[in-house]
Amino acid sequence: MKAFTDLYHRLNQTNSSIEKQQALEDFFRHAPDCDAVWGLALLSGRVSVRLVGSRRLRGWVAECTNLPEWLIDESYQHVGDLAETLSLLLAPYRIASPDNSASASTASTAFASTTASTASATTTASSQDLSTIMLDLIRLKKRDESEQKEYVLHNWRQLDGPSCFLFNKFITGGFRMGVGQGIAVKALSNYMNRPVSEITQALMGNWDPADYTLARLLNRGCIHSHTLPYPFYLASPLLSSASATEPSDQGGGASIQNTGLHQLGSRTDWMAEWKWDGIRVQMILREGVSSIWSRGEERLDDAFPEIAALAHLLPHGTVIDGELLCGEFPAVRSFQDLQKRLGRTKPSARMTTQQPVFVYAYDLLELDGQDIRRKALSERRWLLERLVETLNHPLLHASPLIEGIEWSVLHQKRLESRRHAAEGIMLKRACSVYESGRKRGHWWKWKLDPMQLDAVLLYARPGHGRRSNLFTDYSMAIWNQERTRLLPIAQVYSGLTDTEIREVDAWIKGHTTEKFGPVRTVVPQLVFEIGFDGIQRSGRHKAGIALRFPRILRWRRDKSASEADDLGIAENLLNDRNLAENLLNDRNLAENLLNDRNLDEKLLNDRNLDEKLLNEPTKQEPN
Amino acid sequence: MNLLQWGPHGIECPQAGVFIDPWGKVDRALLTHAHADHARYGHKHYMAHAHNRAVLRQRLGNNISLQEIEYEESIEINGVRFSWHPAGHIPGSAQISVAGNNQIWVVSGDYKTENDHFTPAFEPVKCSHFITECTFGLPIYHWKPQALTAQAIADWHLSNVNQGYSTLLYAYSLGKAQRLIHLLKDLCPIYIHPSIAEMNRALHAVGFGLPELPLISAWKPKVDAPALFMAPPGASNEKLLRRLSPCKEANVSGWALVRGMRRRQNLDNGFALSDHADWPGLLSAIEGTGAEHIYCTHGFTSEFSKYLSEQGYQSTEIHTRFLGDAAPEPMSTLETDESIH
Repeated sequence: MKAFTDLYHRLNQTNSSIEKQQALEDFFRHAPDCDAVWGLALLSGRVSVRLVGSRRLRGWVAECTNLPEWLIDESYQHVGDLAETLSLLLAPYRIASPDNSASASTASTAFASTTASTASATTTASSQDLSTIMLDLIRLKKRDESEQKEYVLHNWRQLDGPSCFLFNKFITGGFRMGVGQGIAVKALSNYMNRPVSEITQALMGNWDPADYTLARLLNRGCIHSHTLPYPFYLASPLLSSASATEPSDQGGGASIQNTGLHQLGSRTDWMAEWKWDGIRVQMILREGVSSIWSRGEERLDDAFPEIAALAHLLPHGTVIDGELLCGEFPAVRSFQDLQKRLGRTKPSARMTTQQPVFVYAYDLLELDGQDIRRKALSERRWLLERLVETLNHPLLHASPLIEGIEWSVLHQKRLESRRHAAEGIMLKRACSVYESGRKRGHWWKWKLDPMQLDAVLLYARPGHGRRSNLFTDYSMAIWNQERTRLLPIAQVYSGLTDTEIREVDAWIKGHTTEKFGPVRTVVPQLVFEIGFDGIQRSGRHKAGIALRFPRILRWRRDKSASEADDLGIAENLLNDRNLAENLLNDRNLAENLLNDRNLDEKLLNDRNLDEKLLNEPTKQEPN
Repeated sequence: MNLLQWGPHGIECPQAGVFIDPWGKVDRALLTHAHADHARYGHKHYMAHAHNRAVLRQRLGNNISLQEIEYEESIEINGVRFSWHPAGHIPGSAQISVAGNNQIWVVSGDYKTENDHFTPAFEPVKCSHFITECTFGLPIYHWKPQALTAQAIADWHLSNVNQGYSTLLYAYSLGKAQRLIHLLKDLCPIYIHPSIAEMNRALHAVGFGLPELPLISAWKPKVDAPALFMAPPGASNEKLLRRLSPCKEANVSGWALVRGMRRRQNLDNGFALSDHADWPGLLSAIEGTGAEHIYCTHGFTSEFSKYLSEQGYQSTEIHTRFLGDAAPEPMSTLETDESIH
C-alpha cells in the first residue's frame, strides 16, 4: 500500500508527463509484484469496489470521532471530497497518533499533543498490501454490514492519513488516478524494455488483476490475442479560430484560419468523411470468436446483440474500425437515442425495435488474419468497401466519403454537418497508416462550431477536487417565451479561467439570495455564452429542452440579464435540427407522410366529388 | 451590562472608552498583534505589546502615538483593568484580558496553542467571557507537530535539489516566515525576500534572535547551487522570483491541509503549518479559560458556535467585518495572514 500511496501523491504533485512517467516507472520497479498489477488496474479504471454508501460511512465516522453528523456534513461542504473529509476527520482515531483523546482532555495535555500521524503509523500501513486490501474489499461486498463495518473501522485505525484517504476513495467507489493510460504504458515499456504497441495491446480489454502478475499480464497478448482489438488511432482536433474553446483534454490541436485548409496541401491527398456522433468500435472475428470493443475498451457484445451477430458473419480474421450509431440506415439518430441502449445487457425486443442500430465502417485493420494497418488508408478503404459490399448486410455500411476536389466545398459541407446528424468532418491523409493513439499530422477532426445561447447564472454550487470551495458548477437559465421568467436550461462546469472563476466566486458570495445546502441562488445578473453540440426536447427539464455537452464559451460582461436569450431562440435551434432530421434522414417517415397526405387528399377529393355530385342538382336548379 | 460590546468599530469597552483591534477611526485602539487585519492605520492612540514597537512604526508610521505594554502588566482605565497575555500566534501577539463589573473578558486575538519555541507560548487565561477566533474551527483541521512538518519540508527540498531544482516557500512575511527560518535554519541555506528581511530587522530590534540571511537577489542563476527561497504569497508575480527557475514552489499555510486548496494554487506542493489553533487546540483553549460564555469570530463562526452550544457552552457568533463564509484565499495580498480570506 505504501508504494501505491506514494505513487498517488507523487502523481498529484506534478503536471509534467515526464515526472508522472518517472513516478510510475519507480512504482512498477519497487512495488511488490501483485501490487503493481492492482495499481495498473486501478489507474486504468478497471477496478471499482463501492462497498458502503456515503450516508452510512458518515454515521460510522460520527461514531468513531464523537462528532455530530451535521458537523461532518459541514466539513464535507468545506473540503468538497468525501473520502478526504473522512480521512481528515479520522486523524484522532488513528492508533499511534498521540492525540487520541486530545479533543476532550485538559488544556495542558492537549497543548503538548497536537495531532499527528507519526512515522510508526506509516509502518503499520505499509505492512498491508494493496492487493490484500483490494481482495478483502471485493470479498466483503457480499458480506453483511457488521462485518464490513468491523473491517473498515479496523483499517481506519491502522492506515496513515494518505493511505486512509485512498482507502476511503476505494470504498466510496470514487477512486480516480490523475494520469492517462498512455503515460502508464510508456512507463511500463521503459521498465519492461518492450515496445509500447505490445504493451498497449496487452492491456486492452477486460482482465482481472486477481488473475495476473505483471509479467503474465504483459504476455497475455500472445495468449488471448484473438479477442483483443488494436489500439485505436485517434484524430487530433482542427480548430477554426472561432471555436478556440475546445475542451482542454483535446490538447495538441492545430488551429486554422477559416481559409487555412490549404496548409494541409492538396485536397486530393486527403479523404474526407462525416464525423459521426456515436460509439467508435472495432468489430472482430478471429478463430470463430467475435468481439465488439468500444474505444473505451469495453465489450459491447451483450448490449448490442444484433451487431455481435453481424460480426459473426465476417470472414475469418477480420477487424473493422467503425462507428456504432442509432437509427435505420441511412437515417442517423442522436447520441441521446443511442445512450438508451448503453449500460444494458440483453436489451428487450422492444428496445432493439425502438432504438435500432447499425455500423458505419471507417477502416479495415485486419484481413484474412493479416494485420494490414501499415498499408495506405486508400488501399485499406478499397478493401473495406469490397468486403462490405460482399457481405451486403443491412446493419453494416461503409461510411460515405465526401467528394469534391476543392477545399471550399468542404467548408460548405462542414456547415451542413448537423443536417446529416454529424458533428463535423474527418480529414484523413490518403496515404496514412493506422497509428496507435493520438498522433498528430495525418488524421484531423474538424468539428462544427457549437450552437450558442446567452444564458443567465441562476444557481451555483461548489466544485470538487481542485475546485472545492469555489463556486464553479453553475445552473444557467434563459427567459421563457414571454420573457417574464427564467427557466434553467443547463448545468455547466465553469470553462472560465482561474482568475475569472475567482471573480465569479466572489461575486456569487456577495449576491446570494437563498441557500439550499451547498446550492446558492444568486441575483440573476451575470450572462455567459454557453455552447453545446446538440439540442433535444426533454420532459425532464423545466424548459422542455436538453442540451448536449453544454459548456461556457465566455463571460458576456457586456450583457445584462435582460439581454439574455429566450426559449423562442432555443426553439428555433431545435426546429432547425428537427426539420433537417425529418427532411434528410427520416426519409421513410417523410415518404409515409407524403403517402398519407396523398391518401387524405384522395379521400378529400372523393368526398368533394361526392358533395359535388350531391350538390349538383341543387346548383343546377336555377338553370 | 456587558463589559465588552460590538459596534461599527468592532469590539469596544464603553466604560473605558477603548476599542480592541478596531476599524474606522477611534481615539484609543488596543491591539492584540500587528497583522494588518488587526492593526489598522488612522487611530489617534495605540496600546500594544512592546514587541510590536518596530513593526507597528514601520507599518503605521514612525510618528504614531504608541503605548507599550509588557505581558502580565495591567493598566486601569476608568475602573476597568486591562492586561496582555501571550497568544503564541506571532511575535508580539497577545490576548487582552478585560476585568471590571465582576466580569472577566478575554479577547483572544489570533492564537495558536502549539509552542513553536520562538514566539512566547500561549497561556490560557481564566475568564467568564471568552472571545475566540475560529479561523480553523472545523474538526478536519488537525495540525501535525511542527517538527514533523519541518522535516517534510526539508525532505522535499532535498529531493528537489537532487533533481536540480531550488525550492521556493511562500510564507507570510510577519510571523510565518520567522517561524520557518527558526525551524529550517540549521537544515539548509536560506535566501529571503526583502519584505521578510524588513520584518526580521523589526523583530531583531526588539530582541528576537534571527540569523542574518542573504536576500533572494544575491542568488545568481546558473552560478549558485539550488537553494531554499522564502517569499510572501503576495510576491508570487514579482520579477524578482521569476529569475529563480528551475524551482519548485510550495505554500506554507494551514489551508494547505486540504488537497483541493493545495491544488488550486497551481503550486507544486503545500505544507499545513499554521499560526492559528487547530480544532483540538481551539477546544482545549476554551476549556482552559473556564469561561461559560463563548463568542466566536473570524472563520467558521456559525459551525463552531453551534458545536459549542451543543457541548453546553453559552455560545454566540460575533458578526465582524471579516465574517462571512468567503472561501479562504491563501494567495492573498502581501501583508495579511491566514485569518483574512
